[in-house]
Amino acid sequence: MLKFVLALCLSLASCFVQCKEISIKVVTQLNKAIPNFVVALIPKTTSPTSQSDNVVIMDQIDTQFSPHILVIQKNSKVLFPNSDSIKHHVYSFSSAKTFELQLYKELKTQPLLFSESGVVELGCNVHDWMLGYVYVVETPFFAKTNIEGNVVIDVPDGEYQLTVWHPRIQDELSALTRDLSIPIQSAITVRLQKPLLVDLNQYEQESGEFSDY
Amino acid sequence: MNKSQESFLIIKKLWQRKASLQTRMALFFLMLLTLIVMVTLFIVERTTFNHSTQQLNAHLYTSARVVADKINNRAIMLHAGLTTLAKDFSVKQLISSANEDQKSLYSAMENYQIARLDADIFWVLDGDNKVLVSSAQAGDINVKFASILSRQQIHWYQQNNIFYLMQAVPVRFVESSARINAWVVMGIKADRLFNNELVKLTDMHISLYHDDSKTLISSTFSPHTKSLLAATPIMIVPDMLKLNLDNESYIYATFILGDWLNIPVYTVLTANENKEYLSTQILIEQLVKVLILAAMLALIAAMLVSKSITKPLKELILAAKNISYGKYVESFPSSNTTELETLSSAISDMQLGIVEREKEINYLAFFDELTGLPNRVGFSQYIETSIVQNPHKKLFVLTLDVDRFKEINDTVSHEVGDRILILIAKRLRAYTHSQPFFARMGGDEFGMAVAESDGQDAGSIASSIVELFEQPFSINDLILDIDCSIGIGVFPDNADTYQGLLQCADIAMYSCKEQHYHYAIFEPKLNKYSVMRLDLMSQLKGALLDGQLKLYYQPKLSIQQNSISTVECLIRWIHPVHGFIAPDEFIPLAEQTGAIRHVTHWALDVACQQLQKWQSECFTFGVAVNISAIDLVDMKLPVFIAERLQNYQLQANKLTIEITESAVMTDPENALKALNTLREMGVILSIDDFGTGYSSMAKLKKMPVNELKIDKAFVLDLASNKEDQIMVKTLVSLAQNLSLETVAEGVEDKATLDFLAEIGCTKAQGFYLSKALPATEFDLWYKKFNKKAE
Repeated sequence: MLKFVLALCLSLASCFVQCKEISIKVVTQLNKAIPNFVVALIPKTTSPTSQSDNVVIMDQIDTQFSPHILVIQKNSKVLFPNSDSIKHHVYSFSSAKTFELQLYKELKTQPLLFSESGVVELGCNVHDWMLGYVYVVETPFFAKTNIEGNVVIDVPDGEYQLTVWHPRIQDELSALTRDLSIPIQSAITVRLQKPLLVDLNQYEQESGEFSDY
Repeated sequence: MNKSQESFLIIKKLWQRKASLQTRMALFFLMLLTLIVMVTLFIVERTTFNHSTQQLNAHLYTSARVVADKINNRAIMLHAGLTTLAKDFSVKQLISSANEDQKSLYSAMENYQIARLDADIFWVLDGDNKVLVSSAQAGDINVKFASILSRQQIHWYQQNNIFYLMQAVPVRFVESSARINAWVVMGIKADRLFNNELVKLTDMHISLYHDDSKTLISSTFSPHTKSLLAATPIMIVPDMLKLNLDNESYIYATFILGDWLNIPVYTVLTANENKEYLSTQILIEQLVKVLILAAMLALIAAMLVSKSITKPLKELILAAKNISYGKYVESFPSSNTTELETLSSAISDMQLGIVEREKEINYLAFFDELTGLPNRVGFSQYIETSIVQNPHKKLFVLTLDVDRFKEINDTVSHEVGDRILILIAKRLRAYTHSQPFFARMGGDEFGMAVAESDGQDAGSIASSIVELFEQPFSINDLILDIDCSIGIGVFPDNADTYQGLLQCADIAMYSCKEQHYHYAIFEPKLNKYSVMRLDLMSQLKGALLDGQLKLYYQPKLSIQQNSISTVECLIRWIHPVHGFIAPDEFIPLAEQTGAIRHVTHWALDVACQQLQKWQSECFTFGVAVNISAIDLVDMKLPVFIAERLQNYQLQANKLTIEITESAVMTDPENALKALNTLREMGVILSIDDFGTGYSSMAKLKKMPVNELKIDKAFVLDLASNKEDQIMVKTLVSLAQNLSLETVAEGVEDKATLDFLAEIGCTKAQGFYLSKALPATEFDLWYKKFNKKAE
């Protein structure tokens, strides 16, 4: 995942010379930092380039989806490998992408194309505790907050719409969406108005997404 | 006045009435048993009631818990079923595609509702409050309500007046998701839950109410009862309450069982009161039965007790009645009861006492205590009985009087007198010829009745009785010669009644006493005489006033001087009808009636008057007047004599007072006083009939007398009888030794007078000189005597 982000950053840096770092912090109404919060900057002027060949992986390790939240640009393909020695039955009834991968092992499936933006909730029919999300955005500029709730994104100058998302968010997403101009604004704090839903299974902690740092 | 008071009064009246012991016992037993039964029943009733109440309370609570548990279990089952349903992948698929394919979801839900969960109604809601599918009759519900229903509690829901037990479960397409994608909701009709199974399980009827008992949701009662119940207000209180439905009495209690839209729903558990409590009516019926039984038992008990108590009591009562009628009871009932036994023996003892006392009374009534002979009453009974039994047989009735018994009594002592009577009785008893009947009539008088046998006549019987007295009686070394006078009355010759016979015998007896015979048989002429005698006494006082009484005068000759020294004044009663009445006849009677005092006073007065007259004629002799014992103790006599002497201007030594020996002995103390007084006055005192009494020489010595008169009994035969001569000689010498003069009475011939002169007797008196003469005749005799003497 980290490799992927770095790679993405490098590729973006190579494309746009006039890139600017923007720092975004997401906190609760009580100013508590929220990690693993998805932040995306959707350009208003230029439509983002399609990346149809791009394949990202949503793995299944120890009967958990890994990562817990996968953010992808629209029209990306996601491969669902099975790293466990047991069969899984991955499915989604979400309108952004409804699918079902009947009981399988290892890499027997083909990557699936996510052509619509939105939240795709993933489950496994044989393991009720398994829960994963694929968040599809129409921009290449997105990231998830670190443990301090911060995220830094390099974006070229221009007008953007800032959108945020989290599986347990209760706020209306539109209320948190805002417009911003780069480079005028370089640091933004997003404060939620409602508390998050309770993390019943502590997916974020167990995912080990930041363990590499 | 109320009923209980009335019945109390009736019982009180019954109790106070003089009821038999048996009735009273039965009543007592009955009352006691009634009391015990009532108290027992009261306690049992109370205890049972309390126990039943506790039981019922526990039963109600247990049943309520059973019902709640049953319903809760059903809800849990439904919830579990719904949870399974919600997790079903196919169902999730069908829900997710419901917008495109509603029918498939409906069909699947119907399958679950009917086949798998046995529910009656269902809904599927999506996360946006939209009903995806629902059973035909279902109304609208929302997510909020569904989320309430998803709590594991008992929830109710009303739709078209039908109540349902509701459960809801959220559907998450991905199970671990925080977001709910849909709701499945199902309900079971309440009526199906409150069924007979619950009734069997709890033995109660269960009803379901909503909205503070205003709405009856469901009930296990029959539709009819249910409709009645719906019209009956039910109180939601923690206590048990009563309820009447369809003529049945119920006890009910209310418990919360879930809610509908947060308003509690109540179960009302209804128990049949009669089942739970012993009915009062049944208790009273049992009470009556027990009381009837008790009454019978009391009656039997009373009868049994009466056998052992009242039966002997009744027998005792009969015995006591018999005793009171004078019948004697031979056996008294015995009883094993101590008190009755004691009472029985007490009555027995009482009878014995009565018998003994009766005998005693009888003895006292019919027998004489002193002699042991029958008394006057016994005598009369015997004679009356004999007369009745043998009316044709002669019966001799004898009365026997001891001569001079009074003198014996006075002279010796009453004890000796009594001893004599006892000895006489003993001698009489010894006479057994022809079965005589002896009795003591009182005093010194005995009675004898003997039937004629062997041609015995009254005289021979009397003679044989007289013979019994020939032997002297010996008492305490004292030898007494006792004579008796016997009068005889004969049945049926003289009289035919006891009274008549006794009167005849008495008359005969008195007549023989007067005539100094040993016995006399009744003759009618004696009767007449006797009646006259009794009549005399009433006439005596009048006779004194009428001058029927006269003094006759008999001279006493001074032997040595051959002159008349004293004249004895003798009272003669010349009765206008009966003629001459001897003093022996009326003086004793006058002594008995007390009239003697008048006679004595009269005699003294007349004697003194006569003496004055004689003195005026130059006669030198004095007068002698007899006075009785009664006069002697009359202390007025000396005064009266003094008055007379003074009145007629007489010297005291011209008056001689003659008293009998026995008169002095009657009351020696007072007699001595009187004699001393008279002696001091100078009156000459003379002891009359000396020798016939029992006066001792010691007593004679003390007496202030001047002369002794020797009784004519010693003098009449003096000329021929040697013993009399010795006796008189002794008496005379005794008198001489005591310086007393002696007067011999009954001198009838010259020889006697000569003998008297020879032995030194002072005076002589008798027919040889003169009999007692009236004053005028005496004057003539005296003049003649004086001439002769000269």
